[in-house]
Amino acid sequence: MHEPYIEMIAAQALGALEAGESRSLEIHLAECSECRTVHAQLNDTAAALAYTAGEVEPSPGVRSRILENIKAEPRRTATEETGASKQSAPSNVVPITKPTRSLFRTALKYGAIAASIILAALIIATVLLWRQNQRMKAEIAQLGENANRTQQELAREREIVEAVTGPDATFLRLAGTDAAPRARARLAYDQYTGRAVLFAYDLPPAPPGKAYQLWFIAEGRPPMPGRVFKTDPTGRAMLRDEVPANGRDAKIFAVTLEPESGVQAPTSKPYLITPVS
Amino acid sequence: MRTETAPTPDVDNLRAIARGDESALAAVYDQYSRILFGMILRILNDREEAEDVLQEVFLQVWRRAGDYDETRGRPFTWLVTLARSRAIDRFRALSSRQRAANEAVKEVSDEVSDAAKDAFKSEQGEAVRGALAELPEEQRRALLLAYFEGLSQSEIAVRLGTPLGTVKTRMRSGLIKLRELLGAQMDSLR
Repeated sequence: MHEPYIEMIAAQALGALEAGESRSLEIHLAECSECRTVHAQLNDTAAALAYTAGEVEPSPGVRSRILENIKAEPRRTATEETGASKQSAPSNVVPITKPTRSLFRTALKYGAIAASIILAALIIATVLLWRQNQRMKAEIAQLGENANRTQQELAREREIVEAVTGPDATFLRLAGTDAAPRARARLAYDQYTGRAVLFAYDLPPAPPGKAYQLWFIAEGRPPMPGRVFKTDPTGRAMLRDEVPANGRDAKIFAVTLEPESGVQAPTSKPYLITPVS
Repeated sequence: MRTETAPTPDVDNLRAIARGDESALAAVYDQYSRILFGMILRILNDREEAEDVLQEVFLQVWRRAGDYDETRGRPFTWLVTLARSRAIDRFRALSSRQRAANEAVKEVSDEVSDAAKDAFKSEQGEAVRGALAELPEEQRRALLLAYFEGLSQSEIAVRLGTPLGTVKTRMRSGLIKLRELLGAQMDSLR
């Protein structure tokens, strides 16, 4: 366990320890008395190597120069010295504390930066999610609306189908008159429910301000007005209507060209009419 | 000659120096200047430079005697370590040309430089040289390269063309062996 440190201790005693390693050795020595003893022993051993160089007498002037120089040095008092030497030991500790403190500050600083980045990321993510949520809501609303419309259309279609395929449905043909010789139509009519659906083909396009109107005609009474309608560009039209209860005995159905708002009594000759039976 | 001197007076002297006692510094100088100068000269191989460094070393002793910590080694160890590191610093600061010239001289004589040929070979010196001679050649070389040339372990590995791990092992084994060989004599070596 101490083995790597013994190697470091030997290297340090010989002045050959790499700068990076001496720090970790100092930290270990501060807490391991066993290694401190080895350290002191090997330091003494390494110092003995100085003897191998042999003793050489320096020039006599060196001694006097040294003693002269130290007189010029300001001297600390004994009490100051004690204080200073006490401080000198913990001074080894200062470098440990300093990096720790600055490490802490660095950690704080980087922590703050990291927190800001995370906060910014969260805000961006929230905005993106909120936008996505809004978009989804809009899509859902759109889909709901579409579904409603589809459902309404479906219901209408079903009504038409029911009107046409119901057990009491009657099919009538309407033929074109001189006003529209090529026109023709079919009418599905349930005299019990009053539902009627007209499918018209090849009607000439209605002039501006005008529209076609359906009429229910019972014997001995004036024609009853139905709804107005316009054709598509190919001359086709489909109209769903409900015959009033007092007109359900109508036997004749006709289509005339009228003002687009519709009228209470026909003002023109029929364009389409069921054959008079 | 100083074999009987106990380490305690050295510690006392350092404490006295820390208190500003000039005569204590003079005493330490008289006792250790020759061995320190011999070592500095061995490293620098230049008398003038070595005397300059010696002066610096004692100025440092005067200023920093209060830093001496008994638990880290004897006063002699503290003095030698201070002197060695000053000498190595100076050695590195010297111009590369001068260094090259100095190294060329060292290659000729590994143990005693020409400049130190008049070194006084003390009993202690003989004892340490004797112990050193008992170490395997590669261990001895690693110790001397580090100590007198100031090379780090990785620099020694490069210089010797040896793996770093081997250099570390050699240093550790060499120094521990040296300690065993010196054994009881360590006390007399101050």
